[in-house]
Amino acid sequence: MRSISGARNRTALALAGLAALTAAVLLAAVPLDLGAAWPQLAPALPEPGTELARFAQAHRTGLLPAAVVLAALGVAAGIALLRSQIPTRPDATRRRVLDEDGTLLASFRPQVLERALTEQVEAEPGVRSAVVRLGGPLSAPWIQASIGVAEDAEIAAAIAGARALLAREVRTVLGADPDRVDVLVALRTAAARGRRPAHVEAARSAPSGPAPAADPEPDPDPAPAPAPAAGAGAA
Amino acid sequence: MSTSPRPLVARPTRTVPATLLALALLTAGGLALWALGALLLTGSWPAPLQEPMARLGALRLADRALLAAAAGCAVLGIVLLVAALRPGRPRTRAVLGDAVPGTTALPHRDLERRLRARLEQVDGVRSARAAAGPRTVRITVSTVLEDTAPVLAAARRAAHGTIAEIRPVHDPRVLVRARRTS
Repeated sequence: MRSISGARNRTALALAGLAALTAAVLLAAVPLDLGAAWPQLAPALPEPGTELARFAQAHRTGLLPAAVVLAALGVAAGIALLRSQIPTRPDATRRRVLDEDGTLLASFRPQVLERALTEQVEAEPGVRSAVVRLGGPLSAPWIQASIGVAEDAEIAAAIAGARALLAREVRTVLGADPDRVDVLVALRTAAARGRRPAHVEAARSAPSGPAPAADPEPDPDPAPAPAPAAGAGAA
Repeated sequence: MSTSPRPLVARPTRTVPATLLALALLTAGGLALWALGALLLTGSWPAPLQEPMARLGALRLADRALLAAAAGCAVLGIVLLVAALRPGRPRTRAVLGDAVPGTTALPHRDLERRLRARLEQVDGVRSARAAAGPRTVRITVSTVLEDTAPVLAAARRAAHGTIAEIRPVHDPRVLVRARRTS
């Protein structure tokens, strides 16, 4: 399941709002004669009759570099903010199961376990489609799943069954209870039965993210590690 | 690996205003870099900007045009601050709590569709509308019957039953209204 940082967006919007308000005060300082209200400001304010071109020419040495820096910052901030609107998915680096001495028992990619869990959830009565994501350390993993349930199905039973199955299977495979099992339910009408919900489709068709590409080592153990270990941890 | 998942019942991420802001920054910054670059390299504004810049340069600092620009900036700043600070309405509702730790969330839109489908099966109901929010679910059913009271009572029972099935973590207020149509 992919996510976008709401806190980052809100911070960017708040900073831009404050910048716009500051610009408004600077632009209105002379026309509104703010120097009369705040005498400390008066010496810094130019004459009201000054032309903009003349004012810019007089302060050219300071204004021009400042304008170039502001424009470059604007472009950089715009690119960064636009890039951050592309949803990110949980990192999917290879997980290593270690024993108490730190010896490698097995390693696997989370996608392998995610696929197995997805297939099992989709086999539950009433469930039409599912996408399962696994995250967190192996000692306290978390699961987020999108589950499409038929509108005429027993929703409570289908979801309770799916959640219990996810918790049980993760406990069996990793030897640790999941920290949390979050499920986003999508009710599906009969007409939509052939299709997956939009967010499920998006999550399913999303590329695997940068982590697997950064780990070119072939997977020596494509199956989920079957043996829970006391010293299990993410490497 | 992410240390914690994003909550499923969360406030809006403000993607649309943030995208618009990013595009505006990119456009304005790009234009400004192009114009300032030309000014630094050639000593004059680029040809398409010479006339507008000359008009802008002729403005006096006390002109009304600058006051109007200041007002525009102030309005934009307030809109951006409201978008940033107003919490907004979550699109999902926490439902079906059980012993397994974690949250189950159902989009309001799906609950509305389920309510509509159920209410349109109630005897006497011709059509139904539902609007689900975090605290309140508003339902309007239309009927051709003269006496709307029995339809209203049946619609209310169906609505409460449908909501009870999904076991919301926080029970919403359910407001049902019946409207007679010809």
